[in-house]
Amino acid sequence: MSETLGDAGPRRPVTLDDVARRAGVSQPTASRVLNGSARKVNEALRERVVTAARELGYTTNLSAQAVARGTSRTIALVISGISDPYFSAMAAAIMRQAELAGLRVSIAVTDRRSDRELELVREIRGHQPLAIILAGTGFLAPHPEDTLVDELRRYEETGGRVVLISRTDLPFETVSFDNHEGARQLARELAGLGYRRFLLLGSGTALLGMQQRIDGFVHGLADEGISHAADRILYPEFSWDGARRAIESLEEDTLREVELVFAITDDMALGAIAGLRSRGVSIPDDVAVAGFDDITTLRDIVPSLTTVHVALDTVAEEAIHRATTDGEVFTRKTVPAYPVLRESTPGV
Amino acid sequence: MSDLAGSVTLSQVADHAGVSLATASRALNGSTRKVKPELHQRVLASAAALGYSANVLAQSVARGASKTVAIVLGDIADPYFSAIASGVIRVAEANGLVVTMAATGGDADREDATLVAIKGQRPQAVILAGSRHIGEEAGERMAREVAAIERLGGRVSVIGSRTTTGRAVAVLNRAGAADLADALIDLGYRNFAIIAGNPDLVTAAERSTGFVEAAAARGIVIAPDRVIPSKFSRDGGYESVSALLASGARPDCVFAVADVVAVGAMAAIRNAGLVPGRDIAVAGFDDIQMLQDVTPSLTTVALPLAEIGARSLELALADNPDASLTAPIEGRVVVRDSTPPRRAD
Repeated sequence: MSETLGDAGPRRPVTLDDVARRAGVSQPTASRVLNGSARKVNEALRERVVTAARELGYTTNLSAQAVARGTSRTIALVISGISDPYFSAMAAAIMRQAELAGLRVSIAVTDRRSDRELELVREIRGHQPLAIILAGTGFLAPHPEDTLVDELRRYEETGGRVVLISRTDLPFETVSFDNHEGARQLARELAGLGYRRFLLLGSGTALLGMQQRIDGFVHGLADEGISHAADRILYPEFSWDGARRAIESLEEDTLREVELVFAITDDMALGAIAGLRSRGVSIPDDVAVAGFDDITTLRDIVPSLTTVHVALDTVAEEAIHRATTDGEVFTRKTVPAYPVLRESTPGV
Repeated sequence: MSDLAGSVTLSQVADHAGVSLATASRALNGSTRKVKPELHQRVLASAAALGYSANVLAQSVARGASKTVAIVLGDIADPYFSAIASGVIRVAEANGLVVTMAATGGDADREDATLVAIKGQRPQAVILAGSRHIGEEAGERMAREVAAIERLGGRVSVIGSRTTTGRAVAVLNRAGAADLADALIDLGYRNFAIIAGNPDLVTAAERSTGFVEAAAARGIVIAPDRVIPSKFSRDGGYESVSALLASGARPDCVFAVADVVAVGAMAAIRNAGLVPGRDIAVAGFDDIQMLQDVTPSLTTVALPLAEIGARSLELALADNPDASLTAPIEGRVVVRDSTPPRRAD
């Protein structure tokens, strides 16, 4: 291949298109190789692209990519909800990190509905943001249709970046919390404080991350020689209200036996507290309560809530890094989560 | 069809696939009209081969505006805004639109920059949910950006006060605060401190002024040094009340111009070794969702936040808004445990 550029006029910067033509591949393929993509490229093709890029002196130029992308210094964040304090805290953390990188964030909400998620991604893709971050609790079952995956791949092919937070249902790498280990450590601490009889509140919607918290907690109790009866795990609707209703509809003798209620999120722990109070139970004197997430906006609740801290800022930082970095191939990253003991679990 | 030099256009994709422009559009942009599977596949293959992405600008030219509704709000973590957003989302959904949000941190300059960026989305509607700033300059700047968005086929709706012009949902902040002052005085409170938020923000200023004026009409003068500016946040409430109590002041009731500020105020009272409600009463404004977890339960002025959000979008989408859409929103005083009846001294 002896085509040379610049024969017929002034030199201009080497574009992705030039590389693609020289390598004899399509532009999307060249993009996948040089911009990084979860989609594999045939080794022989990859070689050709890399060689062509080197021969032409192509450099991945972020601003050129921005032009190619059509915009922008904007990142699109797609989250499950914002009324839930966890998600608004997550969104705020991402916006803080984005701001440090000189980026703007636009946010859209799916309410955990796959039809809305698809519609949103389709529309957002058209605005050509620098990256699309999908943050959620991750469905247990893989995504039922491939259409969302197709949209995301097409977006990647035009140079966009897909970043996942706590999503295990999509074929892209994700940043997650260590749900299992965090819950496990919390269970061990609580057993250490003398608690023996627990009620666990899980999620009625099958969410992998949430199930990991239940499994981890049971594992931690087992570590301490406490076997947990399966009927002491309830799966109410995944919400503050769901938790409250679950507590309110407990049999009186069941309630009397419970020493500590563990809920998979702080939001649900607070719903449980509301339910307990409505039954005349005093927290933490009669029943202790623990949650998971360590939501800052809930820091003024009395008594202060024992929970598992998840480093939202670390996750946000990693997400923004992935949204702004070329060439690196990202693998799953798990961010540590650790128990924080507070007034709601003083000990037996 | 495309504003960007060098971008692949929908026409090119249609030619490449050997289909009409309409078919290509239906296949790629989503449509209730079905496209034959083999044509659909061809269009997708051509789009992929050419590296086409549904550039919203192209759609905008065809339709005048995109499917997007953009909400500009202050702080994404503030439950006041997420409640408003939920109402906007409900109406958007019913109209086949998608909602995006951007936060400004209450900064007028950032709002301007955000509006400039939002223009690129060619939104069908823009909801300005953050509080307006007092002052002519802010008003003119905003008016220019609003005009720019409208030129692109979008409509702007503002959640504001009685004095906001254009498509606006007027929240009667002043009257609500006045009603609250009356209710607290009826409960026996006399010695007030106001955590007043940012005095440059219309919402905060109206709530604070409404309270002071109503108290004055009842013969209670609230001294200027008891009307304390603060950050419009939980931390703002915490810091201001901590400083107030540290100075030796002991009001019998603290009015915070927003519930998030009131929550911070309660934490500061507790931190000073006092009991909120029993020792120092606290009242807020908004009736945000998180109050369900606050003890003692917080007295406030309830606003139908989701309804406000819904109304703001309905207003933007209506060609000829009728009276029901433009009626102002009143707050309703809700007395709870944080302001028990005060015994006369």
